[in-house]
Amino acid sequence: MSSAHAQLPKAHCGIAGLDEITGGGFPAGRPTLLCGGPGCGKTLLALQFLVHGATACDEPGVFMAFEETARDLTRNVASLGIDLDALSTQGKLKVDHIHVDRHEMTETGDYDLEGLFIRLGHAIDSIGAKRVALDTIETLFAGFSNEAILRAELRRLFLWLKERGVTTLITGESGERTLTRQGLEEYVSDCVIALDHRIVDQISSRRLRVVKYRGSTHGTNEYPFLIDEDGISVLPVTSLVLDHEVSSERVSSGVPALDAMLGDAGYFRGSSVLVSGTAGTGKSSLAAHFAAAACKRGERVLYFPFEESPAQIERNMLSIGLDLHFCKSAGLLHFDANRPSLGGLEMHLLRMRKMIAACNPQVVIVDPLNSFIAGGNRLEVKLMLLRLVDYLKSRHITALFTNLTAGGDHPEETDTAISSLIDTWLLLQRIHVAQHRQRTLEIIKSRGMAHSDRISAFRLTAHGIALEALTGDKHADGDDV
Amino acid sequence: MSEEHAGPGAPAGEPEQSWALRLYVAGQTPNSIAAIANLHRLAKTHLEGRYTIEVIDLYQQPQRAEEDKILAVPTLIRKLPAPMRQIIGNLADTERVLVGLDLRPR
Repeated sequence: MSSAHAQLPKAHCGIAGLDEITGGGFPAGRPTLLCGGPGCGKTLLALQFLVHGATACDEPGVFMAFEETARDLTRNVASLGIDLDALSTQGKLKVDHIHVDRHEMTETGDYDLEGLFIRLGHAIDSIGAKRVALDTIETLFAGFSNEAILRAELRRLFLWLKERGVTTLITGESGERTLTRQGLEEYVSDCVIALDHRIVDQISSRRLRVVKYRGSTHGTNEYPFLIDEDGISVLPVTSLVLDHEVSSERVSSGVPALDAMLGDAGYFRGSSVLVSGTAGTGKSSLAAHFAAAACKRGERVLYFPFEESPAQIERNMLSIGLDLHFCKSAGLLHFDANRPSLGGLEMHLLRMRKMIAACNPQVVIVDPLNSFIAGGNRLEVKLMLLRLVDYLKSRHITALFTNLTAGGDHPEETDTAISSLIDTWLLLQRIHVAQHRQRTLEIIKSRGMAHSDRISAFRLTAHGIALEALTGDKHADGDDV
Repeated sequence: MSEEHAGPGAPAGEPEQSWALRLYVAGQTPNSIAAIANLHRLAKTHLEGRYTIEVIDLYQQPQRAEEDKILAVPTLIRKLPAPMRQIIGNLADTERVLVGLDLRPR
């Protein structure tokens, strides 16, 4: 194995997460095999690779379409905002549709596929192409009956492409026991990427894996990816480093009395806050206070409610004197409501990252986190949160997560899995005081600041949250049961 | 093998119908040379006096490969009479060429 410091030249594909996994893109000047089942996104990925080359890298591309006609292709990607016609007229992209039908021709002795080479060579020369996509070249096997000729010609084609120094993406359908039906992986040995689309518990998820990448280090996991109106996006992984810039600026929690408990100033900007508690203890109200306070400062807030609709939240908060509708119409508060069951864990994370990148908020609220925990095992959830928290920190976003804990003796326990990721952790509880139940708030931890150890009574009034000393309690321990 | 021109697939009512054949090759490869020779021999035998042959070397006119949708080389196209027929290979298998050109029943 060669050492890493003589890295191969690479061609960016423009899909952020994928360029990170491959350490900069596909091997430049060499062929890469992209395999996967029908509808897994091969054609789209190949097109995005070419379009990125043509528009961002000054590398024109040739798309040899063996399945779709140029018109179908153009129409299909128009919905993603890609204008193939415009790129063609600018001489940045050339689409050649290759139609093969065994029934339309008779084979009478020896032949080769030099016509394909000439066609491809001419297309490359006519626009000075640096990138080529062959989608899906295996279609040729349906068109020609002489498999021996075909295999020899494919081997020759891949060598020829390498000699021409064009970065090539070759797509192939997954086979039953081989990566591709016709065993193309035998001919393309530089880089192989597998795409997969699976449905587990009625939840669809797409994954991508770098099967091999000769002469380069690469991520070996399966990485989730998403296809939406912006095309393909892959969940990047490089954010797992602890080198965020930290801020000593403080932001108000929206509850003056709570700010007082937090070293008289509130949360650190760019920190992550967890509010956990049993049902009905006021977690969402605390989150909404924080959101409203941020909007009042003129900051943008992105709110991910997973259990209530935005309208319901607005109505509920109005009852305690918070006008979120005003924040919304001022363009500062954005809701992105989704049922957690609508996608897998990573799909949510991907969506959230995209929303965050688009909205560029100073504050993000996730209410509640449990929605995720229902969707995956604890380790997965923790990893996902780690990625989310890292991402938010890298963007200096102050994040507030709520978490519903089950009632019981140790309400803190359920959250220990994620507590290490959290800077400030607030616990809301209901305790019995004399003849009635009372809500309480305590700070379990708050990194880097002096904070109160007191358990406060927590009341929801028509004018918002009020914190007071516990009734009949001089030195609260909370065990007034 | 018969020497007659009119097989069952040949035009019966219009014996003077003209045949336009076009052969795509790529340079002077053995397959190209064989295909050109095979085509001329076959046309002389079966289409005497009523055919034209056009040979296109794709190395000389590379744009024709895309325009005329050529993949395999050599490729023989029967342009006339309609419908168009496409035959690939060096045309060594005369029987199959005749079938492909509709000069023999399928």
